[in-house]
Amino acid sequence: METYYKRLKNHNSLFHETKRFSQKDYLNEDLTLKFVFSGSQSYRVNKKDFFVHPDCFLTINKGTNYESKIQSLNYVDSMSISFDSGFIHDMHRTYFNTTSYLLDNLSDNRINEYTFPETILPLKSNLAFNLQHLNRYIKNKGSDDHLLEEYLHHSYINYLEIFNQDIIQAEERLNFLKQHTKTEIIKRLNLAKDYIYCNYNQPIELKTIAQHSYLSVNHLLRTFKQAFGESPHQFLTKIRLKRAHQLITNSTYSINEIVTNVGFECSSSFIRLYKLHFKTTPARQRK
Amino acid sequence: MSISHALIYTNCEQETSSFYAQYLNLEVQQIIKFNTEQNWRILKHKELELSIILVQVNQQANQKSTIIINTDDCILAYCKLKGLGLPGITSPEYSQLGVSFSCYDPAGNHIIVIEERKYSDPQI
Repeated sequence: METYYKRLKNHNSLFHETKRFSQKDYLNEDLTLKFVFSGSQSYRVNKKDFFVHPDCFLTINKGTNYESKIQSLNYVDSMSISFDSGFIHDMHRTYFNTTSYLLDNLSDNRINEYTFPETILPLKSNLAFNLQHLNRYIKNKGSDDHLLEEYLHHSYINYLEIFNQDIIQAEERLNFLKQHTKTEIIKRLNLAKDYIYCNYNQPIELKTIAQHSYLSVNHLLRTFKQAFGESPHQFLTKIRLKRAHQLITNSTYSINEIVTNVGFECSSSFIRLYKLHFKTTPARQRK
Repeated sequence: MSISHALIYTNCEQETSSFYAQYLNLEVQQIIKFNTEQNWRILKHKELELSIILVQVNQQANQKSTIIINTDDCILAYCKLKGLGLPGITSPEYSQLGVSFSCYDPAGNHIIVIEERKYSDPQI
């Protein structure tokens, strides 16, 4: 069992732990992004369960109560990055104001609290690359505060990039006239995505996803495709393939065990889809 | 075939040479006469496969080069060089190729340090 914690001068912080069992309730002090590098960690936020895997992450806002749980035979390697409200305020102020405005208004004492959807987002693009560097920094027992500050600064920029792609732009793609309808629908579609992220290894019916997202089946199908450019079933298959890939690369489970573990019913269709997605077969990937 | 060396033009050989030694760990390995006119100063990194040739040109020539150096961690390289006091260093920026920052040597040659990222990787 190992833990690492560092709170920087700008009050952003990094927490890393490797554990098999833990269960604790928290009051979140800052906006936090929750990641795992291996295994999975569960969270209960506002009476809703989330499971974080290495291909995704969870956002928890400042002031939210949550329960965190690890219960695993193998060690779970997890990491949290927290961003101080003042840092977030400064970032948004410098990003969304002109240089002349900033020069005329050197300080701004009003600190706005920024909140983000408490949902699971895919760990991809620059955030995925920067996290690999952060993980290496922790493993090498890094002690350079300036470097860590820069890594966390970029992690926030990378988070905004994903937030913009997967929430804001997805919302804009919805064919509704009223903005508040778009906002409400994207909120429900994120519930659908969260449900798929957390139940990918179960036989999932469209009807059940629709129930969990408070949408009719037809409405779910139509708006999901509009917002994300793929159907819920295509999204589910992608998650299953990514998680199968993780297990093929990092575990000793047989391919057949992995097929059932990630929710596929038939190994031949799994192999076909895997080859299509990763351009190699599961057996070759394992070698 | 592969590119063997990058040519960097300078009208202040000593100053430019010190710059590359201080910030990029490139040491003078050899000074040779090329085509009997030009002095070529070959600089090599002690550990990495990185070498350049400094070519002395006169003040009026105004020849500038751009060199692109690969790194596996752009933010780490940026912090190291900033910590060494490298002047005129830009903040890391993202592009379709990856993340990079840049600076200029004393002779005005452009140096770009880039961490290339395969965004199309299905694992990412």
